[in-house]
Amino acid sequence: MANGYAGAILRINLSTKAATTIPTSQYEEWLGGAGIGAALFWDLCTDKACDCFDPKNVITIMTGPLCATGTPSTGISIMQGIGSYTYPKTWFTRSCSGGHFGNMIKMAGYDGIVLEGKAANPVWISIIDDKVEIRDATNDTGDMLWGRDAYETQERIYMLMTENHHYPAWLDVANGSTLQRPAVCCIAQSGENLGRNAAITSNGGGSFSQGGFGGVWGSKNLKAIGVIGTGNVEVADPKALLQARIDYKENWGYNIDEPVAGARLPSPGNGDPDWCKIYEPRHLVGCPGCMRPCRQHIANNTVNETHCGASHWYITAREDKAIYGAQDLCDRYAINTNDVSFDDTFKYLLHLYNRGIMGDGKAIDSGDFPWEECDAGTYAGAVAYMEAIAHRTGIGNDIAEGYTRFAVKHGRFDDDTYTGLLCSMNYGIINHHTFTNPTWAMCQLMGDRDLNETSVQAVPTYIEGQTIPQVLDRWVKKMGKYANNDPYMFDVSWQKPDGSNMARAKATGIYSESQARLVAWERYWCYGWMHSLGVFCKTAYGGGHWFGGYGPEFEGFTPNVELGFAKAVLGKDLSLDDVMDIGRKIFMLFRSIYAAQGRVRDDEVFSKFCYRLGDPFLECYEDAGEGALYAAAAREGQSPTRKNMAIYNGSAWELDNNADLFLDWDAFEEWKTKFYKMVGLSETTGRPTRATLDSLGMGKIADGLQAVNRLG
Amino acid sequence: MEDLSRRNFLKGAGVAAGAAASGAALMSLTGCEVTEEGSKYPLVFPESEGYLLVDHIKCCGCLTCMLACSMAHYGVADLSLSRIQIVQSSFDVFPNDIRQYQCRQCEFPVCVMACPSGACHIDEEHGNVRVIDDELCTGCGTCIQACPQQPHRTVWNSKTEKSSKCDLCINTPYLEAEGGPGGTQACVATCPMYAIVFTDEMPDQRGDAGYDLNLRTENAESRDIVEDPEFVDEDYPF
Repeated sequence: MANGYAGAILRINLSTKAATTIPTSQYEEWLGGAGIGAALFWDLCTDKACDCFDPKNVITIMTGPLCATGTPSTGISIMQGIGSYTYPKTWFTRSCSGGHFGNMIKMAGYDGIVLEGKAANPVWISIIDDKVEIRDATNDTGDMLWGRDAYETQERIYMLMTENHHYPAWLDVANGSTLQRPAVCCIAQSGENLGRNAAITSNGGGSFSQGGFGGVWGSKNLKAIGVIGTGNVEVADPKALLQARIDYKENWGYNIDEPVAGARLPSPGNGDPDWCKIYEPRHLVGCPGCMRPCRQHIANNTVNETHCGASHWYITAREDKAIYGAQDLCDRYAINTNDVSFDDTFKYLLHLYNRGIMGDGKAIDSGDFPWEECDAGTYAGAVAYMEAIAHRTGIGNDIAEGYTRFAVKHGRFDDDTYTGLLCSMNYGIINHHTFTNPTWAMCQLMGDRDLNETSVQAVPTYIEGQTIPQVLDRWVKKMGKYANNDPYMFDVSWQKPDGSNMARAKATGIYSESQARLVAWERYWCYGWMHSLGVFCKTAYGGGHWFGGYGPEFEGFTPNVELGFAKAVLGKDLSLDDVMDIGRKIFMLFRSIYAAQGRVRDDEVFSKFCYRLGDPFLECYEDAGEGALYAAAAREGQSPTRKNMAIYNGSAWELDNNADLFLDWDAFEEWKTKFYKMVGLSETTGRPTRATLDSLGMGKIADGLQAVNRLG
Repeated sequence: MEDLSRRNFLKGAGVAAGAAASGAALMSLTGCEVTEEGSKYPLVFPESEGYLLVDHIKCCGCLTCMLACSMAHYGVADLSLSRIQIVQSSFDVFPNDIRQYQCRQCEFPVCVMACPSGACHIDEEHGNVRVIDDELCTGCGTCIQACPQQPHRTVWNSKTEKSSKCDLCINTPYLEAEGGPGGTQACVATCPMYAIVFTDEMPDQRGDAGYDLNLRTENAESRDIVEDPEFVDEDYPF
């Protein structure tokens, strides 16, 4: 039956160069995306405790069943496997990317790709519909891709796959014709050199960044995958699907000709120029099926689709060339800006330099690396920084291990994660808005990556013309209907520095059962809805899909609109509860994989600075330099991540600035116990129990855990 | 035949002369002789009562129009079957990084003239739209070779081995609303950027300017994001 699935998963063994397929129907119970990817990993990875760079590591790239159907914001694909980034252990993790790759995989006839083994020499994979080739990527005997940056690699693969075809003429391939260029994702020098903050770039700014999968690809000698698909995707009810898209535009779409201000959702093109306040003629750029494009092509041909945090990593830059050019460098060298720059890390290095801790002949000897150029924000500084990381030269060799490992190597980890100078939250993941939003932090701790994978962490607090209590009341009513009708789920009351308010924090606030319920709900939502049914674009969603960003009175369209699309595509009458139930199974599968890797309760702790008083960020922000965006905000006492936390006082909502938030160790450990118990994990180990897995129909998983003595 | 006004006759003749000047080989496909003064034959066709206009600056390259087009006509999502096409590259320089290519419903429909089987014809019942009758198409590909546009706007269906082209959604079994001139077009109805519009006014047939034009409005987001370097939102992002 036509149901949105392409019907096959391409399985490639890089060691043997064998390409086979797995029927998707064997895995449809896991919906798609993260669910199917995790199930494939469970079945195919014979040693789940292996090192990330071990050939036994299995990597999946999956789409969701709604991808490539025109369902809004589902042009995303998700990569999974054992990442190289987290510390001290490298956990099984996920990373999503926009661009055209997922869409094109489905047009070629596949719901996803599984990568196993390790090629003897550098290779790349060419997929033209059902023709799959593993090609030589070396410079001596092959296609001369190894050593190239991500842009050069993609453009070269365009030529190789199309035999120097000149667009816009139609390209004829064996099964059909197309005007589309190949969709390519590839590593750059950073991945070839096994950088743990190496990403995989697709198009200009699409990127599987989180997790350090670029280094994993490098370890497998895999340079790139290029896809041309001339096939199609069949759906259950095409008429209903098309009408749903038309209705969507009418009722929920964002009309760029009649923009509506006053809500918290990003406007189209919310990438760099808005944030850097520099404007040039440009295209807004959307992924296939997009409803609210976030990326941009700028006339000066830089800032190529760079988006969100990656657009302002070079915080000391003042001149256009440095601002624009630095953004391009991240994607060109395929480096995860979340690690090498985001919010706090670049400032960390500048701090070490400005305090005389790092430099030529200093305690951290960086040789002749031009920190003064970075400090001054010149383009030359950005180039030196990115090239050093990509090629692992000089001090860049240490930074390419990730900031956390950098600090460990130079003996600063304990001190700097105590003061918070190094905002390494947990598992070595760099702070985003994590700590200051307790829900964000707790979800990250119970998972494997930064929570910017989803959107429920962001409580809407602003709608023009409405008071904050009004907005929060509406939010809870909308969400409460689907989320247990527990208003305290969104109450993040915390204990004050003098110890007061602890009773409330435990009863209804951040240490409460309500908070545990929210974290569980969010995990199921993330794994089931966002990453398996869609895979949905987090940026277009941005939180406003539930409430606060779309439609009349910013009421939000979730969940009924997506369920309408799902019915048209899949032919199933799914409910939110159905998807959340699958989400719970997927969450438990992820927890089972973590357990198989060896994770225990004691691994699930934050860095020391999260348990102490104060706002450790401010010092870093000051070091960022005069005029820097966040530094300016910090000086005004408006650290951007520390404000507007929702507090429910028992009768009404209010906001409170949580600049004095920190965690109480004992109270948080008690909360963990509540959480484990609530979701069916062992209270002593945090691992799934046999009873829980059996109740979810996951006896096979329980057997697998029992075999390695890691059942909860 | 309708609308055989002198104005249209002259316009048709003028286009023929222009086309002849630019490509005699192409014109030979139509089987018409063309002189300096115009066609020997009355190369006059009733004007289509509908046209698609695009703004390739406003287009975001999301392919929604293409997915909607194939869904409306064939009930599947298929980029290769779409009769409106987006061509893009992340590495081409603005504004050529994203281009839209739609059928022009030419005043002088070379595809119609070239078709040896009569499959490609003018649909007089539906506003004189230039369409291809799938039943009559023999798959010879002549209309594809004849289309003077680059890329050609007649689309090869490799699944049926026949040609197809934009019919302004006249024959759309999977579109709930009625299509055709005055009706709904799937690409127009779904484009999130309002970068495709329908018009019943024949665009200027010379060059691309009549078909690819500025559809941006004067409000800040539509105008400034794509054009005006002066606009700065002082309140963003905090």
